[in-house]
Amino acid sequence: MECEQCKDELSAYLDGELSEAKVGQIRSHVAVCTTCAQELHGLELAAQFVNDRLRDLEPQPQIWQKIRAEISILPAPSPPSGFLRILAANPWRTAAVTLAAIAALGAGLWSYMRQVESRHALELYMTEYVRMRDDQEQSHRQPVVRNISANGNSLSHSEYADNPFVQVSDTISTNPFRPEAR
Amino acid sequence: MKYARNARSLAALAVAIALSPAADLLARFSAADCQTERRTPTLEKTKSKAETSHEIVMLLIRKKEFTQAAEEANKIFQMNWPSDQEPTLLKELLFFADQFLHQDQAAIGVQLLEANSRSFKLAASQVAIWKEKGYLFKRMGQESKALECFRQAQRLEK
Repeated sequence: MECEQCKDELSAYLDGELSEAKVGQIRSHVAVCTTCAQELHGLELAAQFVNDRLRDLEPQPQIWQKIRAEISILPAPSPPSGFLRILAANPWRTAAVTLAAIAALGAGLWSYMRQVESRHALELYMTEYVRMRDDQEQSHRQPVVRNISANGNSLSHSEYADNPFVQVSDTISTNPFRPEAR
Repeated sequence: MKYARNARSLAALAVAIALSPAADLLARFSAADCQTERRTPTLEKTKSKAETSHEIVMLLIRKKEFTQAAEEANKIFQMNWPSDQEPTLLKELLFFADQFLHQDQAAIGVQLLEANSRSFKLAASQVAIWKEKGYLFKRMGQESKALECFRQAQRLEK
């Protein structure tokens, strides 16, 4: 075994972490190598030193008192505020609120669906009327055939077609107050 | 007697068309009506005035004097009509609105409908007026107003 390798593994050797074969190799090397033997001896002394003073390194009771005092000075964590505090305080209330929220959501959804349906029905209602009126308008644009009297001396004339006073039976009147229209 | 009255009114109309601007027609027809006033019952007299106004409205529309035409049309609905004449009046109102629409004057048609809708008491009449108003708005491209009118009509129909 080389010195370099031996020095690297001395700490593990002291802690008992090496295999028996490795332990045997280190012991053989230390027996013949003065430098490594001194290195091992130094490590053993350091370990001994730490072990001897382990009790002294334990924190004293005053330390704990100081820590407790520091903790007591710190502000207490604030409890949940407002709505969350109410929910946390009463699980039944929490359940009721949850149910109410679900009901409200359902009602909102139902209302929205109703609005959509209502809007659809309204559009259908409008479309039907508009289509009917458009058809009427289309037919109005067709030239109206009027039965002009044969002798040509009657009072029929497109200008007077709407006039309820003109006694022409061969015109089509749009005046609802015209005697024959009543 | 009725034929004589109508012939007289026709003559008055022919002269009025030939000689006067359309705005003067009402005065001339009112004069013609006054001659028969004593012989006709109230409803007949009202109808006679309405007939005249109707013709004046049509003439004014042909002359593109739409505002005057609407004012004249309003007079028909402001007359003292018995309630059983509502269907006739409704027909007249819708007819005029349609005439304005044909002249690309849907806005005046809407105004006419709005101004006179209070004269109509029957729900069916109100429905018809709302629908026609909605149709005019639709033709003017005002979709939201059209929808609102049809909503009112639908509400009244339920």
